[in-house]
Amino acid sequence: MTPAAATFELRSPTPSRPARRLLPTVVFAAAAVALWWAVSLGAIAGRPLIAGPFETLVALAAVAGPLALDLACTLARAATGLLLGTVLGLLLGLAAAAAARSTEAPEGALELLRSIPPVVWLPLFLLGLGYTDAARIATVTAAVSLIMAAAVTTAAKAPASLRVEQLRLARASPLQLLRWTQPWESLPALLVGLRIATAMAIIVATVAEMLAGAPHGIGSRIVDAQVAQDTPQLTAAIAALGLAGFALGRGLRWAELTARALASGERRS
Amino acid sequence: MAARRLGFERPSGVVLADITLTVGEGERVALIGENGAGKSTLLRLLLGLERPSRGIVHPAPRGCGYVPQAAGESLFPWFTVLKNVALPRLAANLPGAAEVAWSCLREVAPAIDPGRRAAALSGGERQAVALARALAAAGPAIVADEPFAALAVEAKRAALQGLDRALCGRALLMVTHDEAEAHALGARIVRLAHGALVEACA
Repeated sequence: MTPAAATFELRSPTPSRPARRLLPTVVFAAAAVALWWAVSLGAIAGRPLIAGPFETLVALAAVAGPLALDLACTLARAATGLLLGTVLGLLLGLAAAAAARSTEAPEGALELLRSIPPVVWLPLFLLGLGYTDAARIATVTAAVSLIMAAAVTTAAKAPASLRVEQLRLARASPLQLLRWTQPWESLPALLVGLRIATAMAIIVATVAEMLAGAPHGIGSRIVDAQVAQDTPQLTAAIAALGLAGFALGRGLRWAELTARALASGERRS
Repeated sequence: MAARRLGFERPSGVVLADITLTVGEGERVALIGENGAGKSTLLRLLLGLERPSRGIVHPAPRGCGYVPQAAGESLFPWFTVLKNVALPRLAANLPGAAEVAWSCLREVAPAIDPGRRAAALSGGERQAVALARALAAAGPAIVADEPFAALAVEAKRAALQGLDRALCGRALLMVTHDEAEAHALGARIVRLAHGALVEACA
C-alpha cells in the first residue's frame, strides 16, 4: 500500500468535522424524541401524562397565533421585570458593596432575602396592587433584583486586579480607573447574573400567571389547558415556553462567553 | 526605595523575616533566590502594594514602572499595544505619551506591531509589552519580576539590551533566576533564602 493510499484509507471512513460534530446532536435529539414518544404512550389513572411529539406539533400548528401572543405577553412581563429588577439590583448591589467596607449587614440581608423563594412575594404584591400586571411584574422585579444585586456585589468586591494595580502605581484618577477597567472586568460577573436573572424572570412570570391568572400569558394558557384536560395543548404550551427559554439562554451564554474572552484577553474560536 | 527590618507574614507562615535592603538612585539590583523565597512579595512591599507585618518600608515613588510576575494579566486586552505602553503616561497626564511609548516599544520589542490589540499577543509578546510599559513610566525606578521569563532567546537578548539602554540612569530592582541577566545589566546581586537576606555581593 502506498503512503497516499494509506492516508486515503485512514481518512475515508471518518466523516468531515462539521458532520462529526452534528452527528451526536442528531442522535441525541432522535433519542429524546423517541423517549418523549415512549413516555406519551404511558398513562396514569387512564390519562396520558403528556402528549406525543406528533400530537404536540398538531396542537402547536392549530393554535400558533394565540400561543405566540400568550408567549409574547409572558416574555414582555418577564422583560419588564428584568429591566426594573436589573436597575434596582444595580443600586442595591452597589450600596451593599460600598457598605461592606464597614459592615457586612446589608450583604447578609440580601443573602437572607435571596433564600426566600421569589414566588412567595406574589401574594404580598397581589394584596398591595390587586390582581394586575403591576403585581406580576413586581414579583419578577423582586426576584431579579436580588440576583442582580448579588452579581453586582461580587463584581464590585472583586480584589484589585493587576491592571488596577498598574493604574494605581501610575497615579491614575478614580475616573480613569473606572473607565479603563471596571466596564470590562465587571462584565463577565454581571452577564452571569443577567443570564440567571433572565431564566428566573421567565419562571416567575409564568408562575405568577398560573397562580394569579392573567388575560393573556403562557401560564394562564397552561392552567386553562389543564382545567380543560387538553393534554396536547398543555404539552404544546410547555414546549413553546421551553424553546423560548432555551433560545434566550443560549443567546445570553454566547454574550457572556464573548465578554469573558474579551476581559481575559483570550480569543474565541 | 528601602526596607528596614522588614517582616511579612501570611496565615500560612512567615514569608519575610528581618529584611533590610536599599536601592539607591540609579542603582541596579537583581534579587535572586529559590521559588517561594519571598522575592515577589518583597517587590510588592517595596512598591507599597502590600503592607508589612513589621519593619519600615520607604516605598518606590508613585509613577515607577512595574512588571509583575504574571505580566500578561496586567495588560489591558481591550486596548492596542501602543495604548497599553502609553498608559502610565496617559494616567499621569504627561505629554508625549504616544511618542515615548513608541520609542520604548522599539527598544525592547521591535517586532511587535503597536497597532495590534493586546488580546492577540502571545505570552512572550505580552511580557515584552509589559516591560516596554514599565520603561515608558516617568518614575525614577523600574521594578520588574522575572521580566524575561517568557521570552525566547533572541527576544530576551533584544529586551535585555533595550532595557539597559532605556534605563537612562533610573534605578532597577529586578527578580530573576538567571544570574547572567543580572551580570548583563551590571546589577548588584542580592540573594534571598527562606525569607531572609543571606547574601549581598557586588
